[in-house]
Amino acid sequence: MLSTVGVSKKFDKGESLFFPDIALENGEHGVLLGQSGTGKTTLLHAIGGLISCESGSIVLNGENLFKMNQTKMDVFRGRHIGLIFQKNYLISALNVYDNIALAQRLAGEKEDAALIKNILEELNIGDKWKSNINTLSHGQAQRVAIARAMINKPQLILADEPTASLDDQHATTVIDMLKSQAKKNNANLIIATHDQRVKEMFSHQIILRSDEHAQA
Amino acid sequence: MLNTVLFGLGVGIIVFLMIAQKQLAGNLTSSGKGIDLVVGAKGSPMQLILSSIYQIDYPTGNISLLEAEQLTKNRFVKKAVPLALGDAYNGVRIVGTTAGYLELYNADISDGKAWSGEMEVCLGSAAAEKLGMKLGDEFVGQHGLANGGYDHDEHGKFKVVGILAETGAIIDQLILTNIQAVWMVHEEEHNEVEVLAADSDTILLSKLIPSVNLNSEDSTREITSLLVQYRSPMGAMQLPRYINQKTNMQAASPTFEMARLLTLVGVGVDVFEGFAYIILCVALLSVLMAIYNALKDRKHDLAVMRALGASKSLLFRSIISEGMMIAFLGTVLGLIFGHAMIAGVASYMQNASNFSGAVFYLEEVIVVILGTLVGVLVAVVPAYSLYRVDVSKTLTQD
Repeated sequence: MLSTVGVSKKFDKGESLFFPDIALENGEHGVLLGQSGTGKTTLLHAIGGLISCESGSIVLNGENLFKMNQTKMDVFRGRHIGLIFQKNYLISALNVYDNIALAQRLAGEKEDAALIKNILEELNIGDKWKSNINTLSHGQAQRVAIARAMINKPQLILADEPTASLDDQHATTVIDMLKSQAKKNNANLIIATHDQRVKEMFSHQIILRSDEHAQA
Repeated sequence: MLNTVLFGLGVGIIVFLMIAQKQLAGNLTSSGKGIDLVVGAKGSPMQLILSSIYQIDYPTGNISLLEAEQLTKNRFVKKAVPLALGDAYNGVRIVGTTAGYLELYNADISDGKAWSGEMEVCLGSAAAEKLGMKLGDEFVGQHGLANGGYDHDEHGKFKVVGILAETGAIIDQLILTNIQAVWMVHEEEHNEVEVLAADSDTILLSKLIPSVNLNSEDSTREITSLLVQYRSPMGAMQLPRYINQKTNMQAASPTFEMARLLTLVGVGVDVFEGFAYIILCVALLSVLMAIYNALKDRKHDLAVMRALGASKSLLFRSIISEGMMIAFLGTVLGLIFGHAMIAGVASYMQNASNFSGAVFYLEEVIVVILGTLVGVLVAVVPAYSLYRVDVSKTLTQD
């Protein structure tokens, strides 16, 4: 269960963004819509605790994220929040398996080979577990990124433009994967996108408008 | 990787200097131990010391045995050891002397016996190793102290009768025989060497060299130099002045001359050392740059690790330990470089030094610890800059 109330972010230049409140029940999914520059990524990162905000509260399953200090937030994020970025940001020095195992270890979990191979199977890249990151196709790399975000069974999955460079068929596949993984863990899923194809797949829509700058 | 090697080079030069200075100083003191004064022909006092004690330079000339003999009667002289130099075998010096020379260095015979007959020799431990000779081997000395002197003829054939135990002093590097043997080799007519004639009244036995008759040759006998031990500290006040003013010989004090030599050489060592520190600084800077650049390349990786739950301090620690690893490896590499250089120098000038690369000093542990610490300090700068990195920005920008 996720609820955000009165979240705003002030930037160095002096302008502020005010975000609409979000309320998601357990297992509910939402899509974050808006033009470029309306702060989709900023809100997503604020919910993920990657940036701090001046006001408001974000509560995930009873925990107020804004009341945590940095280190506690890092640990909480590692355990309970799965992040998928616009780019994969896989660590190219490690192979597929080690990238995912790293996420387990950094979250303070034990490395679980069976679990890692299992999730790779579910995403249809089970045979790639020993592959070098640089040998993967774009779609395969994105699945590894999804697997990495999912491996610790997060309660909240935050995905930033996951379909930006995909064709229709792959876009549908990726969204389905995200949905089914979220459903498996009864997790909240928020996708930030300006992709119309994605918009149609979600009923809960949060719309960011640029005119909210005006309130600064 | 290159930085590690560069760092190692800087450390290596410093280690080299450290070991070289230590071994040189140790060598100088152990070889000069117990010798208060060297008496030889007039000339450069340092040359006299270098040639007679350290067997490096050429002798200043010869002194008359008779005159040397008279000196031993001086009340300040406790002990005098005569030396006769001039020949070498394959670069190893042949020193004509008496058993007093062995006593001077507390040298024991590890194998065989001391030389007694005229053409018998004992080898120093390092000399035996270098020449690859053993008991019973025979060889012909070569004239001159450098390699490549002409061979003496068959009459000058030496036989190895003993090998000395290692002492760490110059005696290890020498071939020892008696003075008569050196005379004999250089004699024009080989039958003229005087051996004691038992029943003569006129025989004046040499105190310096047993069984030599001083009268017979009318004081034409010569030796190269005399190593003198004082009976009392008063000797240092009186004896050198007496010798330098009243005789045709000169006296040189090893302590004084070596102190002079070390100040002369010291300037060069200081410059060399300064150079090593500059190299070390450049190496450190390049290690810093390398870590910094590597981190810039890995900025995204590190930001992702933060996003995956790694705390700032964890990443900080991992970068510091990376710097520590590079510095530690570099320092260890440096120690290896340093020892290799010492070993190289040792094999290059083997007859003149006791250098060895296979010796380790306590100071080297300190070098490793210090080097590693420096690596930590150097890594703090990039680690701190990364510590402050904005994860969100890093993962949204390119």
